[in-house]
Amino acid sequence: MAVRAQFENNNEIGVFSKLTNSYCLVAIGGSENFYSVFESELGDVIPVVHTSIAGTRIIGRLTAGNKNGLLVPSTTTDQELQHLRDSLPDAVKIRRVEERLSALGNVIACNDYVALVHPDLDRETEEIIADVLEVEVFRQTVADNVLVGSYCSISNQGGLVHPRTSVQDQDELSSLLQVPLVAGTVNRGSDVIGAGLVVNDWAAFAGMDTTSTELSVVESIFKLQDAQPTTIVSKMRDALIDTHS
Amino acid sequence: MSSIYNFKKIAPVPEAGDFLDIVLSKTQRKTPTVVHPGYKITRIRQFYMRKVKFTQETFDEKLHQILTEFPVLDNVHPFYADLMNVLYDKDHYKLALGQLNTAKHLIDSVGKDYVRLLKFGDSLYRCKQLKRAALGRMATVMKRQKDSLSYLEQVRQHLARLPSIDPNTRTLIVCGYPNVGKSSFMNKVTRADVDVQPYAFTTKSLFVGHMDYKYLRWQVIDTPGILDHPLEERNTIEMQSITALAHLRASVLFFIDLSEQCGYTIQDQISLFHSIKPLFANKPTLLVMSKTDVCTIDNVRPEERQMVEDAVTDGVSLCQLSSYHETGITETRDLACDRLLQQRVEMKLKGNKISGVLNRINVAQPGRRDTVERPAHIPEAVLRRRQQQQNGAAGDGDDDDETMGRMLERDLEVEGGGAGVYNVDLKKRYMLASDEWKYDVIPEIIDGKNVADFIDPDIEEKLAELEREEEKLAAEGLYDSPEESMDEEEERIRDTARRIRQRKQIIAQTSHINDVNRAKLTTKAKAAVSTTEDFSEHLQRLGLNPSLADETAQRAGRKRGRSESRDPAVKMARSSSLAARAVSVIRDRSVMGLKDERSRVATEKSKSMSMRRMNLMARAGEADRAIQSKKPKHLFTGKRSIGSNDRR
Amino acid sequence: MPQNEYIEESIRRHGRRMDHAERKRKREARQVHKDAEFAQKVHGLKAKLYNKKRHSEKIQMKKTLKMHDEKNAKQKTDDAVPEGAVPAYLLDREGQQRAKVLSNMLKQKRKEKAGKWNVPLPKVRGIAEDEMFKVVKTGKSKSKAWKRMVTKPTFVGDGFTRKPPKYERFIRPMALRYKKANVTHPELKATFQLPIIGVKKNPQSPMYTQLGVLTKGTIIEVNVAELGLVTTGGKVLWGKYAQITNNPENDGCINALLLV
Repeated sequence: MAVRAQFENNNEIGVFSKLTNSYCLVAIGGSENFYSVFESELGDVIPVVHTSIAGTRIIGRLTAGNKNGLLVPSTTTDQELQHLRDSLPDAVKIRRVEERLSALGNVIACNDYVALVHPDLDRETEEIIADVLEVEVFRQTVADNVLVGSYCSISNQGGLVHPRTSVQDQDELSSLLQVPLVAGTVNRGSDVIGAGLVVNDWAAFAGMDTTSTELSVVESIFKLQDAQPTTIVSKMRDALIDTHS
Repeated sequence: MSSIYNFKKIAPVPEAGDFLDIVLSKTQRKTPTVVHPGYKITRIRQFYMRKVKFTQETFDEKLHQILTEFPVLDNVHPFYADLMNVLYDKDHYKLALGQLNTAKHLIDSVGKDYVRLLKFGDSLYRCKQLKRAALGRMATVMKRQKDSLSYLEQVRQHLARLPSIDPNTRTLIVCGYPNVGKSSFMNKVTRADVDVQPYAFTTKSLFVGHMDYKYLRWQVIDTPGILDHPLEERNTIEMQSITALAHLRASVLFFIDLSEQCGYTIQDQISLFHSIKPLFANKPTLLVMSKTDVCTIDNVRPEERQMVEDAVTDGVSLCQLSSYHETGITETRDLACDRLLQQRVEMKLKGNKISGVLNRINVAQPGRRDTVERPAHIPEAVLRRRQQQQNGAAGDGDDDDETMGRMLERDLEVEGGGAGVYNVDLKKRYMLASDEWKYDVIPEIIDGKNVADFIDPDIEEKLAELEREEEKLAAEGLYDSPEESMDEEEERIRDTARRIRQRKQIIAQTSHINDVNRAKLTTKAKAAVSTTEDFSEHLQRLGLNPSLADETAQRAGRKRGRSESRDPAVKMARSSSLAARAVSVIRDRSVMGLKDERSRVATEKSKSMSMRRMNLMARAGEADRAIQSKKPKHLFTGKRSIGSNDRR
Repeated sequence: MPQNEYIEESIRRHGRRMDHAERKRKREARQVHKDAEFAQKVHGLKAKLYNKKRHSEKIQMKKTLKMHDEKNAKQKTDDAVPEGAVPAYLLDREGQQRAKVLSNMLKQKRKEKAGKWNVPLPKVRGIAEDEMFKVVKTGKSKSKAWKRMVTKPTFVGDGFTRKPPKYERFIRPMALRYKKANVTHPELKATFQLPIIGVKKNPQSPMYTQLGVLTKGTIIEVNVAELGLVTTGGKVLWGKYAQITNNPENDGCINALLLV
């Protein structure tokens, strides 16, 4: 199910939320509208948690996580950490990471099995990622951008990458991640996929500006609602060509 | 792509009279207003020059704004250029803008001329008259633009109400004779809500509506009806249709009313189709037979049917619809859209931009790199819900009540007073061993220490393990002291070390005792008074053999033959004994020529007496610190209006 | 998106709100009071503008009213003079009109007779030299004062060449030189901008004439070729005299009346 949402009139919802297969983090905003979008979709399945990280609302960019664990930056306060520990299931390991590149969400892109990380990340951080998130870690770039977390969005079923990723890069990334990949945009042509879109294995949330073409690409590649990635090649080809060239 | 013209943002054009009022009152507000004949003539001239220049600049600015805001017909899309030509007459439009441009130049030159004249103004009266004349002439020029300005204002109002048609996007154009059901179709496929009336020419201008098909947004343009006569005889309303057909690359839906309810025969309609056919070249064209609820192709006379079928050549498809029964509408729309999309895609595939899109229509499928299974992780609850939804979609769908009925945080917020008032309960969903603990207050700081620093859930376990390890190590005998094993050598070293330490201690103590408040010789002085004996004694005390050092000292201290400084005692004896000296000494010239001490004292005295007066009158030199005037009068006199005089 | 005549369309479909007529009537009734309040409150330049506008509006209004009234008002007719006996004090009533006409005619005749050499502005204000000329100091130490600058507009012919600055006594600034004049033809009642040919006479002094100074009352010769005037003999006129009627130094332009 792909849903459009907006955080206080801002379409970059990936900045203000973090979605995984076992929990969902949502920034504390002025009203509960944004939270309730997630709550109505996920509320009875996984915990949807209000939180701030280091007193800020940009939690999606500061944290990285999957089904198995959650990494928070060193700036996270003790209280926030305690709140997260209390709110998330015990199976989820939470770890504070001392890392120079403290926006972990921007430098780490992961699903439950594989993580792509920024090439300059610390070796120790890399080990922590492998231990806590229980993933294979690859240092990679997406379309020559080092901020892998910002420019792609992946689940266990598929992935959406920066629109300028070449076909060879797509193939390489796809064989690393072992999921089908497609290049695309969200929020009416924005290439910051990670900021405009949050996905897990059965739900996706995109910014309010996302067009129907973009949303159907998202649904197909992430296999939401029984859609298949092959639809992109077969049915949506004409629409994609006409809108983008 | 973004070729949307926004004509809504053009600022209103004031009428000539208002224009003058605006400019002149702005001059009055923004320039100084007080001038006196007593002022210096340059100041008066400057005052009036400023007024003239300011007025001219204001006129210039306002006119420039109008000239830049109105679209230039040569720069807009040909569709809009032609539409504006049809609606407002291109010549008239250009003339109006041209006249404003001329007026701008005239005003500029008037301003320039009068500023030049003002430079020779030799009285306030003359300057004022010149200013008056200048402003008057500018106003006259503006007043002559009355017609242009009111025309442009009308154009602006009309432009702002034009439908915003994007000339480059996917478009369907609906056209045909008046009253054949164009607007009804438009209302069916879009939400444009165009007026539909049972008389001809209900639609008098272009209308645009939007719809979604195949994930894309489509633009549908409803055109006024066209009659079949030569282009020159067409009126403004028809010309708008022709403009749209001529300039937009779109799918054309030509409507034909077979029932002839519109008042035109099938023959007329077909002949119109043929006469405007050149406009459909290279465009997917559909011949749409409307009002099938009244009459279908099967019901018409054979020759008319033949005519219709003849019109369907290559590139033209035939379809039927009834807006009244809502049959055939979707099929018609889909056919039109598909054909246009196909054409656009074909065209784009030939273009060079396609390479940028290839990766977007390519789904990279992974090759397996190992044998690890990486299944998706979808919780049972989700799968169950999906199952239910599928059943529900098939059945009645009452199982949604469960999710619908759930109280969301947003509902709670509304109940709790709305955003900004409601405070969300963050602890409500804590997953703790006992629900009672949720709201327990945990101190953050105890005894000046951060509690979080000491939290370790496994502390008991770790402690136990540590103890066990300790015991184990103890049992292994790690802490048993190893047996004594010292040999002679080590014994001797230790002994020496002990003695050195003792010695150091003693030295420290004695120096401490001696140290108290006593003037000490500097190291240099100490070195000067110490002798070789002292040194050898010192060495002996350290337990070293001094003989070698003595020998060195003697060798260094041995006298050389002649040239060397003598023993101080000898030196003293010699200097006192010998009055005459060979060497030069520094002599005190102040006492030169004085016989003896007494005369020296006398001289000293008379000198100080002679300088006494000078010293009394002593004048400060340049280097001396001087306060020229302690209380400068101008800073300390006069009353201050605010009652304080501490600063000026 | 609203498009085309959407306001009218909406009114046509849904009508106006039900109290529209009443509100409109009330607003119009209120308008005069609002205007009055504004007129009392406004001051400064706005007041000036507003009062002027209002004044002209009122005049217009009165004229219209009068025009409407004239239908009903009694008109004076020629035969309105009552027949029969007329009181003495009314005797000369209708004669007066005629008398006036007579005197006008007389005046006209006299005027025409007075001759062709009569000019529209017979008298001019005298202008002293120190108003006309500004002393320009020259010399290395600015001690010499024999140069003069003309501070009035001048006409300088095409063929004029400056003397060497060392010997030039009168300076006529470029900014104050004029080549054209707005000449009104008194009979055609039309104004043309015509090139000046020369200065015929400056009534102030022959020196000013020589310098080509243009002041009020100066007679100038203008090129009327483009007017297409013809003499009785059939020759095309091209040079004609005109008298300057304004103060060019105050107005920045030259207005003249053609002498016919």
